[in-house]
Amino acid sequence: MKETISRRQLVATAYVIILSPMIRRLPRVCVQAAGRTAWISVPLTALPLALVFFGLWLFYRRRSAPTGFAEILTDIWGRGAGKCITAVYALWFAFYAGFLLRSGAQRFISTVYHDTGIGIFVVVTVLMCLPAVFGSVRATARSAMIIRPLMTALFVLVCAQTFRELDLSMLLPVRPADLPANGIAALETVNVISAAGFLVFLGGSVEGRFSPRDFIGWTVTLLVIIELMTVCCLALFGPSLTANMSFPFFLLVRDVDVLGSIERIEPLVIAVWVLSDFVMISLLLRVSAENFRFALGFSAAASAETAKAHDLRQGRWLLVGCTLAAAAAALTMANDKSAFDLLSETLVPRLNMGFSLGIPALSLLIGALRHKL
Amino acid sequence: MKLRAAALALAAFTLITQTGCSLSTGIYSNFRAIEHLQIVGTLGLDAAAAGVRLSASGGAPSDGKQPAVFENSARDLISAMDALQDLSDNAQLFFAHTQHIVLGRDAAQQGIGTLLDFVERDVNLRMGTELFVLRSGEAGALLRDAAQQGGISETLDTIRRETSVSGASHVYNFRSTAVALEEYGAALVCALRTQDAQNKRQPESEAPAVVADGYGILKGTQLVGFIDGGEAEAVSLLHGHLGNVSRMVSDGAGGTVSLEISRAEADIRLVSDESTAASPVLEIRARLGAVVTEKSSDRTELVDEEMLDLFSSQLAAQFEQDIASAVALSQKLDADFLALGKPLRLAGETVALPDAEIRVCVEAVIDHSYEMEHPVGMAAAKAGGT
Repeated sequence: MKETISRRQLVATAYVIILSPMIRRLPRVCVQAAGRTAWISVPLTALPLALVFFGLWLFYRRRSAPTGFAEILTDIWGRGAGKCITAVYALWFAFYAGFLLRSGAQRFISTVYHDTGIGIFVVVTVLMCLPAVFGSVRATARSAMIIRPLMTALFVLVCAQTFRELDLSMLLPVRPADLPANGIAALETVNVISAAGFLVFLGGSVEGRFSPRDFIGWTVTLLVIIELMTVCCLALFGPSLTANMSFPFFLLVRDVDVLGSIERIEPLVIAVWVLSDFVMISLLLRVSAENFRFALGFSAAASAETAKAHDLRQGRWLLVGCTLAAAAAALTMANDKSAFDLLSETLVPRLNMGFSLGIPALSLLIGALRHKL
Repeated sequence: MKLRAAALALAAFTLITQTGCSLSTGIYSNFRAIEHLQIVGTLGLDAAAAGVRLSASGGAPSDGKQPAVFENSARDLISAMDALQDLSDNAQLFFAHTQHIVLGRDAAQQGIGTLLDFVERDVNLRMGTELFVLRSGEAGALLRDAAQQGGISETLDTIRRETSVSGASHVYNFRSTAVALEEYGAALVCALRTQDAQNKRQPESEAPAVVADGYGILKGTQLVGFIDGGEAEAVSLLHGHLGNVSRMVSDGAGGTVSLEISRAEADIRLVSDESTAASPVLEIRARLGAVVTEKSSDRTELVDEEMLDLFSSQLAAQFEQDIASAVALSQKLDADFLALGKPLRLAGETVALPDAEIRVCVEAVIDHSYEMEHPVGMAAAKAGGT
């Protein structure tokens, strides 16, 4: 039976996925770029995001049947080049999953568990993701629909606890000269949001025709969440401290108390973010394996079929390979702080921008020239 | 069916490894049994030859015993905290709920940059931890003395509540201190004055070991001075923390009248006019409302508008003088603890604090007085005189 996911499930999955890189990069990189006026960059993000959705619409406007992005790449670039690019994407997704395993462990260690190594967090997260990697994509997408309101409510409640201590004058003054820096900060936010772009490779499993209108609601919600986080961090810590902190939001959580009685809730809040990692890593590994299957010529129809978890035929053994590769990468990459910072602050964001925005933009150009759009 | 059972077993194993039901040095290294914890409410930090001297005071036990106090010296804070653990026989010192940190004067003069950095990085302490500085003496001695009267943590909690009402001082936490140092290069810390030996020797006396007395001034993380009395109240006014402080004014005939501040607000803005074209001028405007609470005067015309104007003008003059003194101190130290840089920043101006021209203008009104025709005891005296 062909496995499909609804557009609502796809939207919920994208939303939950973005919360993971969001907490790692924002609002720190925006404040580093734009200073105390970084809160302006969030609404500015709507403009480049609209362009991204427009690009997606161009890819899908003439396709009546659900189509995965691998098929689109093959159609635009040709069979050989398309499969090569798909295989490169597969490598990137496996590496990115490994990086997320590593950075998730780092998040726990730097905020709560100073005395623990990364191994236990990587291993437990991999074990947690295994049922999703080998199981149904639809089940993972359904779980995102439950996780989304939980994380959103938690986020809003935590920020609401800080309202009485906010000094909104920290956000001022705003001048026209601040716009270019905020433009750069907006691009950083787009880069973070584009981390969910790999979901287009699941396009062949999505019911109905793709429409950018499906994404407007969650995009607005996401930008409101990011704006709330940015304003709270800036108004509480000021621009200098916010730019200097690894996880400004978790430092904000550290001082939150519930009704003056329950303190030190940050381990619970940080643990909830594991749910976002779970969805993202599971789907990254799944999409990575599916891309390898496509590149190696396994039947596309077989890829879309629901298979039993233990059935490793028809290229499903690639799921094992990708998972092991990601775990190995997580355990061996960046063994010291400077290497991890280089990876986290420079290499991975730039690679993500290239894969999520650069190659699709180039594909649009090639597709337009070859009349494939 | 077998696969599901295997999956469930795997999940159960994963969950079990996250509990405390493992070896003592096992996977979950943060597990602590609550009955084995000694919660540290207050830390004291003093300068020491070898580095720092750290003292820790627990909360008051429910059995009426004195709170435990631990002290140790080490080359740095984390070593001192680890060394304190060795001094506790039967409980692990737990710093995650530490509410206050008291700095000895010497430690504050050496600088609190390392402490600020430590609090930001360490998972045990929080940015919301309150900060105090002693005008004299050592924090370790204060914690020991206060333990005999039930503990320092409760005293500091009381000080926080009292200063929020009175406004003669204000308790800041690490976050607001760090933000002020980043934004203005200077910050205020609640200053504590230890009670004199006279009070403490009286066996019936339950006077606290320490009281709030104005502010310590930090410039670039180092303590550079103190401000107290009327000037401290002026500082509280400018920061929006002034509560119900009282002031005494003359009735113009040798008597005195006590006024209590009922409302206070201040704003600082940049003004520009023809005379200030060369450089911007900061104008501090304060508005006060006060209530007549007490008078040692038999002048019956005190309800007259003219008399109330006399009181309000004296009150305004007092605060104007105090604000001007606070500003002068800020300029002398070149430490912007009054946040005068904020309006400059908002207006996009940059002026060095010592060179800035600052005007002060205070308006005061007597809102009401709980009026009696004569002060108590004066009616009979008047009748006898007539």
